[in-house]
Amino acid sequence: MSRPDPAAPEAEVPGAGEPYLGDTSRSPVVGCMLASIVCAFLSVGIIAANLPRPVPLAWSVGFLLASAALLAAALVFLLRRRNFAWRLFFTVARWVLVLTLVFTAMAVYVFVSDGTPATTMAIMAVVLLLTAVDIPVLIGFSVARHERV
Amino acid sequence: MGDVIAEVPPEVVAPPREVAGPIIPVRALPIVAAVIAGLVAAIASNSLWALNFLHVSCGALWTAIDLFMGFVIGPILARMEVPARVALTRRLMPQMLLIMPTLVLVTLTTGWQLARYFGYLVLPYPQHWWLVASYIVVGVMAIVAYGVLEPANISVLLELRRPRPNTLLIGRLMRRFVFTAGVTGIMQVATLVIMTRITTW
Repeated sequence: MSRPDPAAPEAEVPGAGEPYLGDTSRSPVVGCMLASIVCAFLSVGIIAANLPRPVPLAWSVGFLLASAALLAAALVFLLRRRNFAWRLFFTVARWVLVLTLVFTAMAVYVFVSDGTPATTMAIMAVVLLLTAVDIPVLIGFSVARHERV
Repeated sequence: MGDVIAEVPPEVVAPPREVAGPIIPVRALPIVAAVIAGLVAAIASNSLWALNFLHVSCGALWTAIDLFMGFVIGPILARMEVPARVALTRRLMPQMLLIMPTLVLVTLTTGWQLARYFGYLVLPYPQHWWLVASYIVVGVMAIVAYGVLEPANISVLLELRRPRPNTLLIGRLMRRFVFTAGVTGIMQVATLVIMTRITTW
């Protein structure tokens, strides 16, 4: 199966007329989004592994910044794509966003009700919000990339 | 889910018209809302029984459904006639899109609250590693779900709603379940090991 240049802003459909198997290219959007989610999970995980004791925030903040940078990079790659099914992307991402916001709200509620310190809570809330954006973008893109427009 | 509806001949599946309406079963949303309301009430009241009930029941369902789907239903589906496979997938997947996130949300939230309730969060290392291991297991399962499983699920469902589904694309996407079933199965067994260890301290 031929694989177009991963750095290309748009995945070409190889061989017009051949059976379409979806976008089989290795997309930098997916790579950046997955890395962003991993960094966000590490940031939250470090906090969760220490609570309710004082949390060393340097690593969490570092992973938070890395996650934000990777999300920004993924959005840049995404916006550079041509012939992309934006309508399908937003349809899927919108519903997944509802789901992730429910998860985020519940997590924030739990940590607030447990009396998590304000600074730790603030970092965790930002990471959770990042994740709440990461996941809809990843799933929306992964679905919409197979749509022929 | 095994290699469900992989290698589907293009001419076999051709529903007469495009399916309209929402993918998820909207009528079940009030049930999900009720479960989440129960979760909030359990946390607000800090009721040990309620937290334990929700954690054990939802956690057991989560693990059992994952293992059952991956290692029982998946291989059976793979051996079924193609139209039967597609028909079952079309009805099963929308339900799973509602059931699994709800189970995961309730299990994880009540699990954290129970760990706090019983003082597991302040246990010293090396015992604390068991909790960290459970976070890693949940993280791996989440990445597999968000990165591979859910996009494939939704893509397949959307494709099946078209007047003429691209069965080659569906087959390719469904092959991903072979990978996810293995990883998820290992993670669920690890969950059982960790949870039974923690509760027998």
